[in-house]
Amino acid sequence: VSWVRGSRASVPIIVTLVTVMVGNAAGADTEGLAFFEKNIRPLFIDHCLKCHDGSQNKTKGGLTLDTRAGWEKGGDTGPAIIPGQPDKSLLYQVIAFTHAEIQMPPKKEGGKLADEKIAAVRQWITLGAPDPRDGKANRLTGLTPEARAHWAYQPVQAPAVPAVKDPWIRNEVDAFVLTKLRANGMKPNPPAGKEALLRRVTYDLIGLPPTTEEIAAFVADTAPTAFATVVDRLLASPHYGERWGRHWLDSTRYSDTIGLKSNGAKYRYEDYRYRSAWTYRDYVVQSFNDDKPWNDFLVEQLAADQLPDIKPSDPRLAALGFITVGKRFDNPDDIIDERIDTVSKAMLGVTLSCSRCHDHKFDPIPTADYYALHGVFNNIEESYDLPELSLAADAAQSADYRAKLAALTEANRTTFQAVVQKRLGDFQERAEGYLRLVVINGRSPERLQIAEAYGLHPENRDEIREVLGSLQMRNEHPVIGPYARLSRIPEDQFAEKAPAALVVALSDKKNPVNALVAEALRGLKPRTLAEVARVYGILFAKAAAEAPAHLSALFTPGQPPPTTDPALAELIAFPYPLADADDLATSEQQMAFFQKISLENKTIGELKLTAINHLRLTHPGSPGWAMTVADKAKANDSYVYIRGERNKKGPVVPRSFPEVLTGGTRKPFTQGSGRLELARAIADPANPLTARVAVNRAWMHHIGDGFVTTPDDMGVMSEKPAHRELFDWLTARFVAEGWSMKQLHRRILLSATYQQSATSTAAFEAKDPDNRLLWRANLRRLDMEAIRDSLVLLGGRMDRTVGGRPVNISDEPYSYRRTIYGFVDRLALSDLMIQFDFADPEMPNSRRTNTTVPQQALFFLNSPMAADAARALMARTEVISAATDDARVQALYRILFQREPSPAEITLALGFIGEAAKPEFVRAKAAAKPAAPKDTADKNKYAGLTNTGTMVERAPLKPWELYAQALICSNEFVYVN
Amino acid sequence: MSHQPGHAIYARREFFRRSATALGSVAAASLFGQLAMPGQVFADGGGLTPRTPPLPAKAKAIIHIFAAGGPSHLDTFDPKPVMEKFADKTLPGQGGGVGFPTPFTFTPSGKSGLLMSSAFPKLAEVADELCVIRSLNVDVPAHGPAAKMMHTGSLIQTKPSVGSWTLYGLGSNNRSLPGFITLGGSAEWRQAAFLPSMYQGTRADFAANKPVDRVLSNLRNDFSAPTTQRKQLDLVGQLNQDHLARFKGDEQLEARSESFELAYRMQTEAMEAFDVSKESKEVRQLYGTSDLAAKLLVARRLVERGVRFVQIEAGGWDHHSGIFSALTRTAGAIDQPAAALIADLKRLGLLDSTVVWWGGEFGRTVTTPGRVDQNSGRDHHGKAMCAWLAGGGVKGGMAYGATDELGYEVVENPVTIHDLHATLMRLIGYDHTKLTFRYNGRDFRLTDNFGHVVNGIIA
Repeated sequence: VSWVRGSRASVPIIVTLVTVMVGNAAGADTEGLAFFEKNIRPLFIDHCLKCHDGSQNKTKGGLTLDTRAGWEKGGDTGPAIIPGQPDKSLLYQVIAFTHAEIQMPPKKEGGKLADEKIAAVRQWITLGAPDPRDGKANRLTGLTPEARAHWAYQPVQAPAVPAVKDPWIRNEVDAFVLTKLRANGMKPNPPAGKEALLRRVTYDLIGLPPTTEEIAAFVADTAPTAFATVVDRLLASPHYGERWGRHWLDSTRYSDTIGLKSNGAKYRYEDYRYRSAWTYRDYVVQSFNDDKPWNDFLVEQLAADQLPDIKPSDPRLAALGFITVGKRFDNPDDIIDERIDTVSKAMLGVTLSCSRCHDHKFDPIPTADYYALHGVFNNIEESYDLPELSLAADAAQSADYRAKLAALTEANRTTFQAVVQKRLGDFQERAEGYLRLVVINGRSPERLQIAEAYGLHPENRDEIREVLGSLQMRNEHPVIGPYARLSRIPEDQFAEKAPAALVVALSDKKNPVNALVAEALRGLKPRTLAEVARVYGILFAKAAAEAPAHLSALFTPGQPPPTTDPALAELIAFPYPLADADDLATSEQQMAFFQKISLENKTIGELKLTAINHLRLTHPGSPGWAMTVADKAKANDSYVYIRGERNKKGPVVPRSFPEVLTGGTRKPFTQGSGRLELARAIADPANPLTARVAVNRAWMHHIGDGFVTTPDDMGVMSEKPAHRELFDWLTARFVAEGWSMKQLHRRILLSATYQQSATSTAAFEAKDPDNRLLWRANLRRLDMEAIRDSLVLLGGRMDRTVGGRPVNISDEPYSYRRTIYGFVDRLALSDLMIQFDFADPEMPNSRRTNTTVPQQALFFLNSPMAADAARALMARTEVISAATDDARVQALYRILFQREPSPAEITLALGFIGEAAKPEFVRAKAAAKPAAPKDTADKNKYAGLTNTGTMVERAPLKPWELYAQALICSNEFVYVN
Repeated sequence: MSHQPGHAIYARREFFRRSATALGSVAAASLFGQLAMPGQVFADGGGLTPRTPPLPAKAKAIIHIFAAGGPSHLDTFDPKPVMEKFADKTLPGQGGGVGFPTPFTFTPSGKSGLLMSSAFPKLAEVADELCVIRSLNVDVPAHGPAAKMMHTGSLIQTKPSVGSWTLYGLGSNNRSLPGFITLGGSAEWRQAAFLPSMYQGTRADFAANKPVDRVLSNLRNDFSAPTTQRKQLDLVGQLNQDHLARFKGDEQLEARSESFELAYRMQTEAMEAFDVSKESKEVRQLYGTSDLAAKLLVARRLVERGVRFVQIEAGGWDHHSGIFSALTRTAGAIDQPAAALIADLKRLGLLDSTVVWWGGEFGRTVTTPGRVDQNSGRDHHGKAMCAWLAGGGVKGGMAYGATDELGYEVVENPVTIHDLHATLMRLIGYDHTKLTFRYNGRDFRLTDNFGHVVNGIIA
């Protein structure tokens, strides 16, 4: 490989320089350096630099060995060499294979070095590790003054509006844009036609096309304020929040599912669907509609529960779904990471989670800053008892829901009690066998013999495991404790040590042993553990006699707790902690309780936990819950995990905000987890990122591209913003005007820049093909929501209800709700969502990709949804009532394209309809064999939720319907210009 | 410099301008689907346009047969005769249980004499095409994370799948079929993650007895006959042409217009591709009659038509108990179809340009819980596992790497999953460290910061 050759070639040159330099220094150093050149430099080159050469950007484990500074600074685990002390030097330990975890070089690079080479390193370190290789440690890091000087980390300063005069200019935005265009010898386009402009702004603000009436009204309104009136009307529409809320839900990786099937201990009990994620979605929609100041909006999403004026059932509590609707993992640190990632990308436009394992390689964010936030999210917890939001529900439906919930909950309680009673009975009968089994390695052959001897048959494997899992062999346990202690004595010393150990166990004042257990064990001199198991066996057999009466009282709701002797009660309830029936009255209590015990999947399956969740998610009478979090009682700071590994503890870091964003005023968080302080730091007007991120995204959704093209990353690696001055000016205004999103929309939309036409000019196209200078409006394709919503709306069937439970928007029977109300399964998006570039809810994604693939065309051509829309279009009153064919074509053009057809287009239409009505096409249609609607093997592919309703009729479309479908297929339908 | 297809420094239009020379015309580049956000700066100028990879390579497609469940390396491709001595004996450091020598016999097969388990009699006939890797390993021997690791190079976090990276690297060679098709398997194994969604695996709902028009969504048309639809498409074409005239040949509009023609052809061509009844009786008999046989035959038909990555789930390998009879069944299900696939690809001259990749998510223990008898099985084990590759520029008739004498851990030429991925990328002509995609300020790649190409298995 070339680098070896290059490095070798350079050796003599460096030696010469060194000799010259060293000639003025002490003689001993000369000797040391000569030793380095002869023995160590070649060794580094041959064995180390392949992975630790900073000049080649190779920094495994953060360590570089191509400069002295490299090993002085060391890698993720600290300095590599302590001059003079080889045994304390990590590098030496690692190559001498005396380090517990790291051994170098790795096997595949040849493994352990020859002994004489190791000895040479030892000697070199003993000599003080003389190393002439000056130069900075070449470690890719963002912790540099240059990175701190990155534009996005500088305060927002409103530049002066350029003093340019031109009739084209409508507001300040244009002054910035025109100045730049002129400087490049370009000029902006003239205004777009009124119809095109209305279509553009209507899709932009509410995600729907304008109606024929709205077009007429706008065309007729010749006042200079006509467009401002339109903008105000649209901003006041409840559909505005649906459109812009969806953008934010892309940024916040909204999904109705946890992204895990049943895996980890906690999640085995839970449905893969969230009970009530949709309340967060509705909160977002409502917040946009209310024009909630952006800073308040962000604060609520992190810490609504800690606001001074918050009340129980306050709708703002739903904001906390921002934290909770993310993807779940088995490992809590991964959940924390997911949350840090979302906060940082969605709210701040930086990629903090890069610092989980190492200092950020590009941005000035050290690992310590990551763990300062880890501390915040590590100190929150979730409860099953969530605040019900007082959402209006029909009284009868509400009653029906409560009745169904009660029935399921009651069934769960009795199922659970029956299981427990059975397991306890089984345990009491075979306690000796269970206790012998639990101390034997799970894979030992002896195990089978014992199991067979005690009647623990393999076919009851799940049940047996359930009991064994509950035994909790803890020394401190009042019942099993003494047995647990004795079980830790090696077999060959048992007879000798057991009696004394038993005395210790029974006299432990801190962990008192159950009185009946103590009585049975006292004075015992067992020779084997099996003897002890036998004593327990006899004890539990006695308890079995008293169990039925005790359990009956315990398991009957409304009964006072049984008055059994406490020691006996404890024995009867072993190994299951038992809850009184009255403490298992609600499903929340049940969930919390079930988590504490070790149930097998089979038992969990018998409990109707998923059914309860399904009821809550889908029943129209259920209240909707705020998916809240709360702070833990006592907050702890996190320590740095070296290289992201939990068991490699670095320093403890106080909970706090990333230093680079605090302008040198960082203070540790002190209130609870610190969430509210974090939220306020994010929403602080002095924070250089928050407002910029919001403004950039708004600009992107209106113009087609952001000032910064990566809306979730404004860090060092992002592209330089186009129109930096305009960007800062807009941001400064946004903050100054109370963080009002609607004000921001107005400012952008009322500019001539926004309102210009999309027409292209060859000369400018050549100069600025990506239109970064904004010499025209961008031609934009509708996104998935706008396409589906248009199909539903233009077919005249849209359900305009704002908010509510999710529906299936992809499969038959179809829902006619807006697409934002679609159920989103982050683990399995529907084909429709994937094909039309829906934002991947696995992570924040503020910018949709925009792909063109044939599967999209197949949707328009063949899907029942498209056929349904074509039929519905032809069934609209204004289409049916059209007096002539010409008028019918006109009606369709007005509905779909918001314009009049040209005479040529009418001719084209009528030509097609004439053709399609010809006998050969009628015959062809007859040949097409429609499948019965019931034959839908692929029905409900997206099975998370199913709608009720009817299937689309499988029958050939009529000529006019075919024509309407062709219009839906055309480019004009899905593009906004 | 990365060789990102249509490199990041290219603006989209710039890409088209530069690729125009190679592809004939701007419109040609647009035919395959593209990203069409104005000012798009990340690396997608080319979309699905077929690309010539930067390094010399034979493979143009990959067929991944995923043996979900964790096939025992000890009973399939990694014989350990020494184990006979340890039958029913406790083995220190092996986590309990007793030594369990394989109940299968191993025979030298082919000219190469590759040792093949009696569980794979048919595959033994093509032993000289197989490159068995005996030194694979994975950190977490749990089904979910390990399978995710095998498909995406990541245990936990969401990353693009191998198939998505392959399609991203190569582009599509067939306008009328998706470039990455999966037959079975989890959504996590076909995800594009942060790559544009056109690189996501398309799930084909295929089964031997299922109507072919149900295989892909919206392939079936219940509302108009093909001739009628043709008329409709001509009308759409005319409407689009008029619209296009108003926007001076904008290529995203042209691309969308063209996508309807592709879709029209996809209806017949996809149905044709999935229709195994189009094969001769001899060929069908070669593969066998099972569902899995039909899937492998379809995989060949897809690759033949230019599909870049086909993924088939052929699971059932989680043999905790009764491994002799159970593994005989599981291996028996894939043995004939896999052997047939290799022979058939070779017959058609496609084996050189197609990598066939078989393997699961981890290996299994050298011990069995309990005792050695007909109920014996093996538990999960991550320190050693095996896989095989065939075709596509891989050396045949060889075993690479080795485990210790018991088969517990790798002692020679270890191959991590990242290494395997790096090698697959090399086989299709990419340096895995340079096939990158910029997402949120970082250049991501399939192998994260890891992986070395296993040059020893490349012919």
